[in-house]
Amino acid sequence: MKFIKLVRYDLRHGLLKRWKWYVGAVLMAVAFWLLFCTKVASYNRGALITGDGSAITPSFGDTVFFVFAGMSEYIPDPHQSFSFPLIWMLLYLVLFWMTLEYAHNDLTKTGQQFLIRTNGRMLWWLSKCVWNFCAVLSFFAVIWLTLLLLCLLSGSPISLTLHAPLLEFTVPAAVSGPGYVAPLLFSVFCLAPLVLFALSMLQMAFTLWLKPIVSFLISVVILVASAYKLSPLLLGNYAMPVRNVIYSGTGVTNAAGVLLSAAVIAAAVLFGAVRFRKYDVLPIEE
Amino acid sequence: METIECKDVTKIIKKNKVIDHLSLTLHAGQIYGLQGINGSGKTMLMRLISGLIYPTSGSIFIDGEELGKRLAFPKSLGLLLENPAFLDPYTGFQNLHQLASIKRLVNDDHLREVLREVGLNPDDRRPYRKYSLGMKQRLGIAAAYMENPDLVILDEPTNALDTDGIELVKKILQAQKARGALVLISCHDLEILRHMSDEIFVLEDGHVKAHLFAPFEEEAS
Amino acid sequence: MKNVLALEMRKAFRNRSFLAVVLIGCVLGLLSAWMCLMQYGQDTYYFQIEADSGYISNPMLEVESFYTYWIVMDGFTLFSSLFFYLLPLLSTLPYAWSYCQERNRAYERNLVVRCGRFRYYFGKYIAAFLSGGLAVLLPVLLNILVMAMSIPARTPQADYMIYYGVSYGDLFSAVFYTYPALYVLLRVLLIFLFGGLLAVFGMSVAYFTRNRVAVLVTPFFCCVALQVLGQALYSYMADSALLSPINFLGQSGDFSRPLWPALLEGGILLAGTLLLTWMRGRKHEIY
Repeated sequence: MKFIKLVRYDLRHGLLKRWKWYVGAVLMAVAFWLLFCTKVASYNRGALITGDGSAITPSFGDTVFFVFAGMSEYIPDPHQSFSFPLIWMLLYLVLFWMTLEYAHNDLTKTGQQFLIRTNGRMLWWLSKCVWNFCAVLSFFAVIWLTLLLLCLLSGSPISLTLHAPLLEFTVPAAVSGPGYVAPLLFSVFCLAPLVLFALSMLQMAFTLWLKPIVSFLISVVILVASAYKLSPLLLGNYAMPVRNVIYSGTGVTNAAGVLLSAAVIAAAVLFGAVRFRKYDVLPIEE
Repeated sequence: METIECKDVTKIIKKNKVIDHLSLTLHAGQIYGLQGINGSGKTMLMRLISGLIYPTSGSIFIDGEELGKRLAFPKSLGLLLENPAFLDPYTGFQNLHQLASIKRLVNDDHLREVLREVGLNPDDRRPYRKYSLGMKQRLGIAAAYMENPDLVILDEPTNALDTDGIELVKKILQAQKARGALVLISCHDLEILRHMSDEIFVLEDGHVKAHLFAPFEEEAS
Repeated sequence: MKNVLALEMRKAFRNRSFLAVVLIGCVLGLLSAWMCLMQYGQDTYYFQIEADSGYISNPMLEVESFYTYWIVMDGFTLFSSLFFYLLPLLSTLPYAWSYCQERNRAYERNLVVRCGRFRYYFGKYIAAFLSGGLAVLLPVLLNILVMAMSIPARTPQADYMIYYGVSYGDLFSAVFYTYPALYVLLRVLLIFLFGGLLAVFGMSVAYFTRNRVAVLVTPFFCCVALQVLGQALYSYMADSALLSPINFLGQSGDFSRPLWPALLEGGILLAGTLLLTWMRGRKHEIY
């Protein structure tokens, strides 16, 4: 009963009352959709001029893939500089910022009142884990729904079919095959949120040892390192559908992504719980 | 500094009138008390006189010069407003030293003496964040009078102090008065206020309800 | 003003955040140097083999120069990419948070009543600028020192332009092939200036919010957003690809890196932050 009350409090104060973050997420989704539309227009113009292909109407799947794609593997070369996957990074950095301070602030301010009344530190920590999961999922849901709405309004087909030539131009990434619906469904709609939940949990656990800004810095480093290096050990790789072995031929697998994410989540929850049992709850002098 | 004059001062914050057509005059060499319930405007008045905020209407003059116009702050001011505020990683002495280094009116020996006067150890190596509430309050009082300012403003100086500490505050205030400073204090403890002040302004809803002179009668509370 | 400035500088440079940031930056700078030196060693080794075998007549040694491998020109190692990506954060972490903290703790009033608003805000402005600039400058200088001691500073040749990534119209390209040392100096100065400007940008955010994390990360997010905007505008304006300081301060790869984004953004940051600080110093009420 107490746990449910805690979760309700967290969902109300950590999600509903922080609705402005979701306005930001909507605006970001709109901006990315507009960017995608300009690239599609460029592609179609080129296709008409060269006559190599016909104009393509992008599907909802194409749109979502473009936003969450990431970048294909970078091979270090002194004559080929590394370029960041900008949309992918901005999206996830905003998510990290959104989930950064809530637990830490709650603990050092009003959450203390809840803590002393629930008589159990574990309940407080688990409630925050649930909040974190809901925050990540709701962030993704807002992005997906916004993109869905925009596709509906623009007359794009609401299907998950991928158009390889279009994605090769817009992402850019080599997409093998005409479109694998099921893997896309999984890597974008399941694996990416799972990976981001794992990273967000890691960040939240770190705030029990480090200052929030240092935890954020670590999250940024993990994202950049994941973008730079294709490695099954760098969790961010699993949040890039374009690096999935299904699309790229060589890459990371869904199964490994699920296992690694689950392991990181479990470790974050466990170590966070152990740390929090002995944690000194002191007010911030601010 | 000889006089501070508030002429028909009003302050409105987010449609709330926190000071309402207040007028009063203060003279050097006196201790003035501000009395009133929470929200009566005591701290706001102190903020106005110290130059931290500006009146919505009316004027405050310090020796004839209008505050907020030609004068940003009283030229010689020592202030303790609400909770003391210092830098956590530094010791008490280091904190005072940093503040004193701005005007360079006093030397380190004087700072040490002031710390002893308020009951703190100048050689204490503990950082400020490890101070108790009472210690923080004492340090705040020390910072307010260490440079022998002409105007000393203390908001609830006896907060978190034990009986020894309260006696200490009384002694310090008398010393400041003897030096010729103008002292303005507020306090919830009416006994202390009546004991220490030469005049008391009773505030209610942002204006002066009563102006009392020592010796004060019991009905004044 | 002198006393306030001295006080602020002491607080800015004698704090753990500044030291930690410089350390992080230096580690990244050294790791970038290490990776580049390995690459340089590998390249010269193969050139030597080919030269010995008589196979190659032009080893293109001018390409293997200090001017190709120092951190600003290194676009292929993780560490230089990390350094420039984190630069907006590295510049705000040392001292940009200071005003926010002092305001939240009501310490601001202790100083303001002693020195006046103007001196306090501008003293803090200058200290934040210098600490932010130096925090990113020192690692770059360390990288330059290591690389300059290890790789000959062969003057770049315009014939091998594609290997340097500095082409006509690029930032300071006019001096790269003639006075490359001056080029290095100008790029380093730009890094220092933007480090400082991003720090005071962060400080200015504190005029509008009491959230310390927002003060620290807002400049970073603005830089990241500028990257996305640059990409969006690229189809219409090729010059816009490198709008963000993250891009034009470091190596940009195939994109042209003109001067105007640096001038425009630098001008806006400087004018905007000075104006905000001046307005604050005039009449700000302190509660």
